[in-house]
Amino acid sequence: MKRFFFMGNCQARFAAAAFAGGGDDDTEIYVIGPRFPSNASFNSLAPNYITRDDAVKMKRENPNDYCVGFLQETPMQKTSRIDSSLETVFDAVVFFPHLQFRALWPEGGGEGESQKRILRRWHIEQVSLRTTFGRSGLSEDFFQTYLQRNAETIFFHTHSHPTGAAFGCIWSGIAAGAPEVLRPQILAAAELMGKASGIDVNSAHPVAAALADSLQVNWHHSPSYRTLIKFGEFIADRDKPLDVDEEEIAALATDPNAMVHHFVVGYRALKFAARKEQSLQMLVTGCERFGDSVILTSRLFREYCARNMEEEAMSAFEASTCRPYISLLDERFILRTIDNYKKCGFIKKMLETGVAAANMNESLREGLQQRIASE
Amino acid sequence: MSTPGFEELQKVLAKILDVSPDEVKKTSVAKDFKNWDSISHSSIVLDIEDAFDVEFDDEEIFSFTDVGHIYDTVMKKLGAAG
Repeated sequence: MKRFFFMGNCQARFAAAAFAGGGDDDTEIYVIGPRFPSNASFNSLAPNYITRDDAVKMKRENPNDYCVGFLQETPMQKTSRIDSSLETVFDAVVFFPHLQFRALWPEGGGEGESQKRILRRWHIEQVSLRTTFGRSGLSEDFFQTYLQRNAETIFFHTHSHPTGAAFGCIWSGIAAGAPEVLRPQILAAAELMGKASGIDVNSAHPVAAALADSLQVNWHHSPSYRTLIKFGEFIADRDKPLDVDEEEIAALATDPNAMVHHFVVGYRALKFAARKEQSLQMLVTGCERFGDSVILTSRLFREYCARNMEEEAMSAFEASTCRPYISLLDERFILRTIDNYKKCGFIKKMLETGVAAANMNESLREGLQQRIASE
Repeated sequence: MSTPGFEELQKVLAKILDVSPDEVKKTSVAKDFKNWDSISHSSIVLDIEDAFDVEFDDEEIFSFTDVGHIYDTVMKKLGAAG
């Protein structure tokens, strides 16, 4: 029996969920630490959340189990890399880096940020990333590849919530340097993560174009990305017709950059797409591409289909290969995120995002609208 | 008795960490503050650099052991510049 113990922030929890979703019957997946308000699961499987004492006890009672610590490296870490209470637990340790891109989403939205300060912040973050990559056994060449892909692909929904693409990239690199016995499972998890939308896509918000240009981030010029932002402006009125044509829906389905705000646009896109069989097929293509982020909206879609669609169309959807990942939303999380956005001056965008998320849940939507009215 | 420059460092850190300046001591470390983590560290470094018009070396950015260490590093840079 193998036992994998993950330690770190929300990024560690997301990775743990992907390992759990891999469904290896001979491996138990644990997160040492508390649950967070929004927890990931893959294929309806999630990790177990335990304490350090639980882990120590588990190893004591099952000394022959192969226990692996998956520990997140942060640049602030100054003490021993393995918690002393866990030294006797782990038979092997795999390190992985904390990821962030604060330069693209600075406090206050970068208002008044000088070009010099933008570039200096990104330099500091690169020092941070290079440090944690190195401590995680990732090479300088891999680091440079990561930076290049970070400029070309959406790697973050916000400053520390990576997309599936970023997770897939990093964990493929981790797999290459990991003990051989662990490599297949790490690669399987990397593949799952790579197809997912990443952490809390509902908290994604548009980047400031000036910042993105300064940092030579290319993806924000994508027509689909901008289209999604346009969609975001429609969401205050849930029943307002979605003014998009099929080409735009097709763009959503095929453009890998059309991830941000996909959740926001999802409900409307689904309603629109559901009108026609051809559009439905595009939607299915989108589900296959976006995987997890669509599955949340797909539940609503199922309800919608049940009321409005033909059996054949429903079957087409059922036959799609969507990854059953579910991002849990709760009111506390959304309201807390709104508070954060308010601090950053992004309140309007966040409210739009929050309302869109709340469209999934009538009572939550009403609560949020009251909140918006009081702003 | 106040130390030259330390009050300014206290103010800079207090503002970004959302605490009162008195709570920032030379012996303070990152884990003493809820808002001082890997994500906020880049902002902390930037604000200190802007306030004192200095630039930390790459190897210094994540090597600070406590606030006193930051203060000593800043003073050394100012001394070298002056």
